[in-house]
Amino acid sequence: MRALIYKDIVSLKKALTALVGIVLVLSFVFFTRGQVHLLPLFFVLIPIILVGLFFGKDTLSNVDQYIIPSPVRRSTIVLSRYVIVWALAAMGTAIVLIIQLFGKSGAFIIPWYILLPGSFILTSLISAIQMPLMYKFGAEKGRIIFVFLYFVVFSLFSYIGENKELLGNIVEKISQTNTVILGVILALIAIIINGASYALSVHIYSNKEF
Amino acid sequence: MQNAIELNAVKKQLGNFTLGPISLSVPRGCIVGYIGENGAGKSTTIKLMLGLLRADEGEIKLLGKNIVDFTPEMKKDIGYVFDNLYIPQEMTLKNAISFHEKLYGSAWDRKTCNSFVDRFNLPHNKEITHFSRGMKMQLGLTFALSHGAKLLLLDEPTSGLDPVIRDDVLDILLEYIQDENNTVLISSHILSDLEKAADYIAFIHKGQLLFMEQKDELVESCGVISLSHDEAQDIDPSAIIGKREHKFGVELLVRRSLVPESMDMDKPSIEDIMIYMIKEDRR
Repeated sequence: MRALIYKDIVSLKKALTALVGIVLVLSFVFFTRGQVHLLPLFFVLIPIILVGLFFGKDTLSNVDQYIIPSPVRRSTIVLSRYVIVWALAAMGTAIVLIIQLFGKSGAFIIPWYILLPGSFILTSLISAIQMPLMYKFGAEKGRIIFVFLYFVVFSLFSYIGENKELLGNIVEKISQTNTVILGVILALIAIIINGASYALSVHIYSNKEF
Repeated sequence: MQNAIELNAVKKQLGNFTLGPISLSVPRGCIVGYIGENGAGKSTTIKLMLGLLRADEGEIKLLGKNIVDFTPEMKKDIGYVFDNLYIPQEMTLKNAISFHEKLYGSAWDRKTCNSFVDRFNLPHNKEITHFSRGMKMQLGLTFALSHGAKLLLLDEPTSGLDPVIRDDVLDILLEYIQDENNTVLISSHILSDLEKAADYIAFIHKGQLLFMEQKDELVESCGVISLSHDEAQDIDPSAIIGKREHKFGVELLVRRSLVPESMDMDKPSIEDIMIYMIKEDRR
């Protein structure tokens, strides 16, 4: 696992350095403009960008052919990639918590037990959809299908926009629910989404031939 | 003693191409040259052994264990080199060594790795993308030999290399085989290389294994004779393995045991045997 994460980091060292630089510059800009709450949104985008880059690099170097006969299980190869996504999601979540904690109010506006799983879902959801697609269709086709998915999501939002009453009802029901229970439900959703995505990716990758 | 490689009725369908059913047994302590024309099934066989492809039928055992039951620990006993070095090309030699150290853990032999790096004079801080083809192959071989592998599977490792580097590679394989527990299966188009190094020759044609024989016995059992068309009529047809016709007559590759001893015959090369057999099949 360590070897695989090391390989991913080394093969993308230039892109990663650029990404860290961009995040630092934007953090400074957001901070000076008092818009620091926008920073966690980057942690939704970073895993998506990185997953695309990782798979693109792998295709280019044909590295799967090299690592599959080596002493690692296929499930470990998949897990190594999820670990990176989850680490980034955890970083995004931590930043959300810090901003909340050290924000102007000095206290959590949203309870931490909702904020934590909620942020984790937000930062890992798109990657959780993206990863099995990449394993199934490869970097190129996976990206095309992903663009198509954007349109599906856009249509969904349009539908919700046109049916505001439905959204209002859902929000009302949620607000009536016990916040602790809501936190637990969100945590379970985060685990289920990521667990199902990982299991699906392992299944696809285990049956792949090179 | 267990065989190093055992393929029992292995079959694989890839589009219009069918490999096998192939049965092959490779004893420990030898170098097997795996030959055949392009698309004959050499790489497919090696990919099946490495678990990159799954056999539709049959069983593959490496070092006495079915590959389906291989654990990561068992995989450490298998070394492999492809026709290219399939690791991220942005890595420097230093990065690549560090990657392999982490990959193979306690099995990684840093001393052996360093000795090969020194022997090949490979640059430590240059990205692999800037390595020549020969250097990449030397590096691939370095990695394959630095974790105590008992079996080496090499798929066209010498293709596109100059004769000096090819000779280095063969020397290393001959050194490796000094340990009787070590075995090498090497596929190659450059049959002169196999002539130097191989103990056995396995010949695959159109997905079928035509033979696996000891190289010396194979060469000794065959002969090449030049005859006129009339003289050729007197040869027992079952003795003829292959035929080449020219303006003045024919050249035949024959089984020595089936032609009169008095006939003047040349010793064929492995390349002769392969070419005669393929051309005969096309006829």
